[in-house]
Amino acid sequence: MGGIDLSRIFTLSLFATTFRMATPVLFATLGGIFSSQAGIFNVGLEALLNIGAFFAVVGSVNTGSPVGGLLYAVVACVIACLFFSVVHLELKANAIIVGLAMNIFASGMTNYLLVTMLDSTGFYQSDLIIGFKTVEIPFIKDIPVLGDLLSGHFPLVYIAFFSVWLVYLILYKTPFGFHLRSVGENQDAAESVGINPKKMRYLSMILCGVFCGFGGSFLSLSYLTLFSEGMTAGRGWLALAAINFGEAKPVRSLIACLVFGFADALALRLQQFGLPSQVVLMLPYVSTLVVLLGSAIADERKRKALNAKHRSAETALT
Amino acid sequence: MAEAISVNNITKTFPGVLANDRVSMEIEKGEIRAIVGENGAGKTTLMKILYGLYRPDSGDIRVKGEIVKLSSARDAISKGIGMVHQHFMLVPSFTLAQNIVLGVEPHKRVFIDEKALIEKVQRISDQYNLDVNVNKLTLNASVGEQQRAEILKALYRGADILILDEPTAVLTDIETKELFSMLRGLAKQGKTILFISHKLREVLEISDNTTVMRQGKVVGTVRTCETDDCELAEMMVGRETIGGRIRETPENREKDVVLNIENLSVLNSRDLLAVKNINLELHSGEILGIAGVDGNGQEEFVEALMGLRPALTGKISIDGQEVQEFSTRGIRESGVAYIPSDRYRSGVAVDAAIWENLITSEYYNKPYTNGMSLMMREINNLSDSLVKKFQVSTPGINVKAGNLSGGNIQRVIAGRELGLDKAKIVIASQPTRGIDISGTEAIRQMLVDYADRGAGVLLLSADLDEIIALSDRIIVFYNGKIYNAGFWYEGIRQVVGQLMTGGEGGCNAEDNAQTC
Repeated sequence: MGGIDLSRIFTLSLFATTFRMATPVLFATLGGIFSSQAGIFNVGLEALLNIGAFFAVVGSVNTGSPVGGLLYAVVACVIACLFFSVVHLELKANAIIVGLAMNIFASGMTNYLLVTMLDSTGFYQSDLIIGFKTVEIPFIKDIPVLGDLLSGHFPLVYIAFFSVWLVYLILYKTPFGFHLRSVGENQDAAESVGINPKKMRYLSMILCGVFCGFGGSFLSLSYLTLFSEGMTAGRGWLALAAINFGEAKPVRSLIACLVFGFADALALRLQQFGLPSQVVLMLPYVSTLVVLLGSAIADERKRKALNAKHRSAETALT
Repeated sequence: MAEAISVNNITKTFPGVLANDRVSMEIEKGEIRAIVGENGAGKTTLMKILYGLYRPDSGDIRVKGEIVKLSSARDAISKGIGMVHQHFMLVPSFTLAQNIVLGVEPHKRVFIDEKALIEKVQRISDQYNLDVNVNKLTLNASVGEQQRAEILKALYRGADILILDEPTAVLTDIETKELFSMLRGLAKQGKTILFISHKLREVLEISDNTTVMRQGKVVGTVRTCETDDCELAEMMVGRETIGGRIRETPENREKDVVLNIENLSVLNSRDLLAVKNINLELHSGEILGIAGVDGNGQEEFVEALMGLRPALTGKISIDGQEVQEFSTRGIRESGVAYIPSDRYRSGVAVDAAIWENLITSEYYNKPYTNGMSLMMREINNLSDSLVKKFQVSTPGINVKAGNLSGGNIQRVIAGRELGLDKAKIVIASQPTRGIDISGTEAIRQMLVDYADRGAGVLLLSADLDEIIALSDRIIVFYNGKIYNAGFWYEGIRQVVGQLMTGGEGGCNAEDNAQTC
């Protein structure tokens, strides 16, 4: 251990990798924020990333363009979300059960389609998959530190971080966002002023599908250009943790995504230093636990403060 | 003066209940009209019809002289009718201004125009003299401020007829005074106000005219300055007893105290004092009627007796044994039978079979268990006999309780609570609410039989006729305190009615706040 030079671990490229690793989780998080603000706890994010990643590959092969792949992924995810919405909103099935079922269904379905559509098992890699190219930002790329950090990423990385601001605007600065949040917080209040809760929930799920489509295509058309079984590796679940930590607010949830991304990046880096990979690969998941524990402790403190307030009200009465 | 809104011969029935029976009234522009009546008198049904939430079976509604069909809240809003619900329809994490404009936000292209939003809300708040801090988060606002926001929400949407459903129920005295002066200001500016209440003192203070409803009908409308709380109380509770008295008070009244309550105080769910330091004795062989308009502390009182809600202070003794620290099971085993007011929520498990419901208080005792498993033969025998004895109309004991009618569910509860003849105290809360005549008679007879066999019976009912018909002694809950109406006599009804609506001292004709 003494032989490891910390300055060789914490390099600029470690932070650049952090952005890359955070991107798919961030997309799924932003999608989940919409449904969660509208009052649907969507545990199917993992399934959506999986579906998105698969159809991005199919789309890329079919159209010969990564944008075509992205489009396929978005459409597939929106369809999956509409299916979720119909089962939950029309047939009144419990959202958590529907989400869990969707997770199981998605991994089975992509494995099956991998065989029937792409004629492979477990894994598909080919020159026919056209991925996105990295983008060099003029001027910024020549600035010493900033250039290494910010330039040379895949386009979807920029879109993801830009979307945090976009989602914030939609939710907090537009009538649409107001209506969506009112439905999630007090459905009766929304209904009493003529807002249709069901419609808002459908729309929130469609937006969730769009963002998950972006997240899925990042997984299979950017750093890696392939689809493999289980390539989402729990990122949908990490997104749920990020939403939970961030109370479904875009900027706070971004912080959690960055923590996860950093842990991922650190794990990749430490592997190069010969630490046992079993230990190193635990990092992202340990960091999730730490983040959730942190937010749970914060919640508990809030609850206790509230209770203390109530108790003092009681004693004031007696 | 011009007519603002009128209803003509409105009738509305729900399964088994005639909620509104040929209701007619006319309200003028700029008038403050109070609508009073006991719970279940049909006030809320009428208001919901006016706000488009219920469709009347027959009759019509006219707004500013024009017949309208109101099939949704949106229709009502477009006709200028606004409603301030008892439970506020506000989104907690929004500011008050955002709540006021929700659904009709001023916007520039796709974005909310926050400057215009604040300005518009501020302007309307100034115009009607309804003071709210527009940028305050709703969850940090006081109840009074939230209510003002609700009123502004209606005014912002162009309402000129405002319906307020028990607006003072959630307010402190000072907030009530503020509300009244705001309402007077609104009426002066030409707004019409319908004020639903069962607090007569407030009605006398605020309204121009008062309409009294009873059992779905309009009893009458009076000019508020020409009436007093005695007259209104009499109109509300009626004069004659319907159904007559079915209880013969036993000769020998001096019996043992089975339940003794000393200095009992109880908090409600909002941590406010609901029961205020009361003392009460219940004797064996006695039916003690507890009257009172809903929400005066009687529910919390019963829940405290049953160990469902902690007692803040005070002692509860059953046969001399203090039980206030006991669990609900401990209290039940001390000999208390309980028929709760909400039979679907706390009376039975609706998804469980009849036999399961019948055995819920005995399943852990011999002979219904051997310690390991249920003894189904014993349980089935017991269930069959209880179903027979209490005349539950059902194809069998395996039917889900939720599939029975209200009356039959109540018979199942009575079977469980009274069937084993163990109870020394019976607490029956609204035992016959919504039940058909034969079921009502059967349950009343059971309570009388129990008292005759020496149990003490506490009877809570919103139906004053029932209390008068059954009780040996009557107390009234008003504002968390109890007032003693005394032992039953011909004509006790008037006293009870006055205590229910005014508490201490009853009504007082000299008390009228307005003069003509």
